[in-house]
Amino acid sequence: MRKPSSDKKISGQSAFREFLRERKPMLDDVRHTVYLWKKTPLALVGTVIICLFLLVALFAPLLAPYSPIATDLSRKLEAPSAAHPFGLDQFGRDVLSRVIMGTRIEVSIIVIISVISIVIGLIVGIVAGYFGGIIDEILMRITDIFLAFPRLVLAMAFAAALRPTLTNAIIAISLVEWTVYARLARAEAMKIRSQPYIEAIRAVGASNIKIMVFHVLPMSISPIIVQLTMRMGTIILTAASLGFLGLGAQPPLPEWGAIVSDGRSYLMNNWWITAFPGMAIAVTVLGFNLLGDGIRDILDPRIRR
Amino acid sequence: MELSSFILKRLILMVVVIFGVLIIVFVVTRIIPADPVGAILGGNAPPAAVDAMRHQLGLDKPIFMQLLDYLGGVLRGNFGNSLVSSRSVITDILEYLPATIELAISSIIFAVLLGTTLGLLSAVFRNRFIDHFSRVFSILGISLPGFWLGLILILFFYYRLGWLPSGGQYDMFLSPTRVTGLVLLDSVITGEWNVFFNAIKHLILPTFILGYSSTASIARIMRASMLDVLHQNYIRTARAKGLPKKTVILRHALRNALIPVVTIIGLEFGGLLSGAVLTETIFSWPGLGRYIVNSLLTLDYPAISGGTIFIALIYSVVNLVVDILYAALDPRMRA
Repeated sequence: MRKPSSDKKISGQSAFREFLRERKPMLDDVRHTVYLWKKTPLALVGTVIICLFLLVALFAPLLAPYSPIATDLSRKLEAPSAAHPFGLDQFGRDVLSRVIMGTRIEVSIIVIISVISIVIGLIVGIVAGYFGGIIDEILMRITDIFLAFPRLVLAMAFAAALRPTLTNAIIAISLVEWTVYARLARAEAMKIRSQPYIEAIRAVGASNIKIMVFHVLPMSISPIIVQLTMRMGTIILTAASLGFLGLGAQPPLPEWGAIVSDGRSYLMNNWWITAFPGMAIAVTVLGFNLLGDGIRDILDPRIRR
Repeated sequence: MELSSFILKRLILMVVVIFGVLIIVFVVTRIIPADPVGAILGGNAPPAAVDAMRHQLGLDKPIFMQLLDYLGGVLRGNFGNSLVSSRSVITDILEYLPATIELAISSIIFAVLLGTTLGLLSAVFRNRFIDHFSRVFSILGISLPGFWLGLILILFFYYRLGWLPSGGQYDMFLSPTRVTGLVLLDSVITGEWNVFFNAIKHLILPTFILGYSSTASIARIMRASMLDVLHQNYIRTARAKGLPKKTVILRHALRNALIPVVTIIGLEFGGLLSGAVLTETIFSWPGLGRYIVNSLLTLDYPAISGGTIFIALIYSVVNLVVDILYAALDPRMRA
């Protein structure tokens, strides 16, 4: 801990040195993590893929050579060429431009689903773990009910019931995803609530809500973040699956799964409509999985040693 | 806790969960915005006919009474009639179920055999070629979208090479005798060997697509577990007392390394049911997954509720069996 009273007496340079000395364990930790990161080439590959994915999404309108929805029926189903590296689809739309613009849809899918499912999961999990007893029992049985369905099947049912659109697919997947975080947050909250400092805060007179928001929540967030990186690949796959089945994004939205589904009827002679967007899904999911694996390995104390 | 009371507690919990499942499915099928009466009679039916139909379907009762009717029906195994095939949903499900069972069984066998072998070789020959190959194969298995890979394989093996069929359980011109509904088993029973080999050919691609991601997970778990076991003292002891490496790996290490794999197989089953939905859609496989997709797309709500409840039931029972097996093997799990 820094002592604020002694700070004022030290000159700028020695204050900086003092700061470095005090933070050395933390800085060493960061340096060690970076070192491990470099030692894990697959995690590095994953990081590069995800950075590229985010950059493409950010600059999509600049990168896409043509409009993703402009049709040109006179040139429909044209094979890949220098002008159209991914070829043209059944309406003469440039497949590359559709894949590039699709990155924005995929990013928003990931971000929105992650936020919704983490918020629901944290609330349910922390309340259950913090209070325990009958509240825990009820909330966990509700979680079990959602877990009694295979994930995709439940997401499909929600998506169809709400009417298949991209927004509803996002809601449907969030309604399935939160269980992951609820269970994690509950376990963390149970660990934290029995700590002496929580007892102390309660003795001082803090309310339950205050303790949960300011003390339990911040402590339980890090395992959730780790889990999140591991789930992102699955989220994209689920969203693409819904799109493919016609229960997610609808044409002409360039969602990758929906484009693969578009190309299915033309598979025999016009493979590029199916092949390239599918490859985009594969590479992105691969990137997230490599990154997630890497983060797990780096945080694993057995490997850290 | 005694194993018997553990099982009893889990069974009671399962009843509670299944009740919740029924409620969720009821809510989902009732919020479907499309009007089922309109779907049956068409948009221009006279109001009197619409009212009669609403009465016949029980849609004019209060929602709570509808829930009771529905629960009563489900408990008697009656999900109502499909709006599309107008047969009883349970008849439909029993007709489609065997195809899914056949595909799931062949996929899990494929995944267990290939996954454990790859994981074992990967751990024993750590950082050698087979290890790198198996790790790349595994990470691709959990990353490639199955529905896309399936289409690409159809493109190569059906359209380009013509080696394998593109879908279905057997060729259209064959009409196998139905005994159990499992085509492979039936064809062996009746001795229709042409059907048997035809069905095998149709099974290859769907089995690979459905089993691939499970293969990948099993190989990853197997590798980690095997590496763990190989560092144990008793393995060193076994080697030190002069047993050949092969014996130590196959007789001492493998058996212990398989325990975590048993759990993952149970967990993979849920993924398999989800995957079956996509695999069956791509390969026109006449199973429960495709039945559910079709009923969702046509808003056939009795079929949706029947299909999803059935899938949830199978999934819960499998999970229960895995938990019980695990508790029997490891008393610490009976908490």
